[in-house]
Amino acid sequence: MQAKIALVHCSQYHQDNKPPDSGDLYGFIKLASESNLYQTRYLVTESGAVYALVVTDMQAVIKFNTDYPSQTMIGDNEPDFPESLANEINEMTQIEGATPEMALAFILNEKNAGIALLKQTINGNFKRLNTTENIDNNGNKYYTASNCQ
Amino acid sequence: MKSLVKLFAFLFLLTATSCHAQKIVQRTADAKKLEINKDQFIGKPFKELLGQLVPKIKYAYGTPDNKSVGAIGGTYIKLFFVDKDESKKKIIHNEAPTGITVRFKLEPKNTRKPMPLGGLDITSEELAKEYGDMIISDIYVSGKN
Repeated sequence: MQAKIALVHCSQYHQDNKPPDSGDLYGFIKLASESNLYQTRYLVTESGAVYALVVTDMQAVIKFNTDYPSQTMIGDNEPDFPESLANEINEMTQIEGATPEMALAFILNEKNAGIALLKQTINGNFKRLNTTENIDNNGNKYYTASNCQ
Repeated sequence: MKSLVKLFAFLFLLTATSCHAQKIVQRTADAKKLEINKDQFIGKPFKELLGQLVPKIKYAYGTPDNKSVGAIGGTYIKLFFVDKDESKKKIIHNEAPTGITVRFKLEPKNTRKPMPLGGLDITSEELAKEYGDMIISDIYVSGKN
């Protein structure tokens, strides 16, 4: 029997309760793709919020990584989202009122990334974050959190 | 003969001046040329790109103040030739207006003025004054109207 390895990342970069970023996601995908021992990545923000990225479907992870490969910007050492995903996420957060947490959860689910985003509740349990896209009577898109317990 | 020489001199001057002053983006439809010719801007200050735009920038959003390596969207500003209300209306209804996404080299000690969430109506001159020295790392152009 093999012991599973959980990665824990406590980062000075994750200020203001920001959720895992592209570096966390693609770094995790790389490790999970190389070894099935890596199934979970925890991330602790500066203010103590705890998120987890969990592999739910390894084949889907591989396909997501092929369809949406990361890109590295000049001056950055960590992988960024490809432009198509970055653009989609930025429009969600800047124009359509989604939080970064909601946007990441939505993208992971909509693109069938094979990875779930979870967040620790005050009683210590982790709940999966889900985001629903809605359209109001005027045709405007907006997003709501529909998180599992 | 003298007037012929004068005419040639005038034409030469006119050609030289107009070539020098020719900007890459003469109209909105030319914006894609910035992406095609991105190599000439990467590593250069943002003001050089702004100086190549004839149509007026009216709206922008982004995170020029970003300090986070790999953060969603990175350190970027997205420029539009239509104002905020019009841009939002088009984006929400999936009629993407022409948008120029300019990504910048990460500044670990970034103290740039943040843009409000949702962006703001702003001119090229104001952008150049506030963010003109930021170093471009990539350019993407989306939308078509």
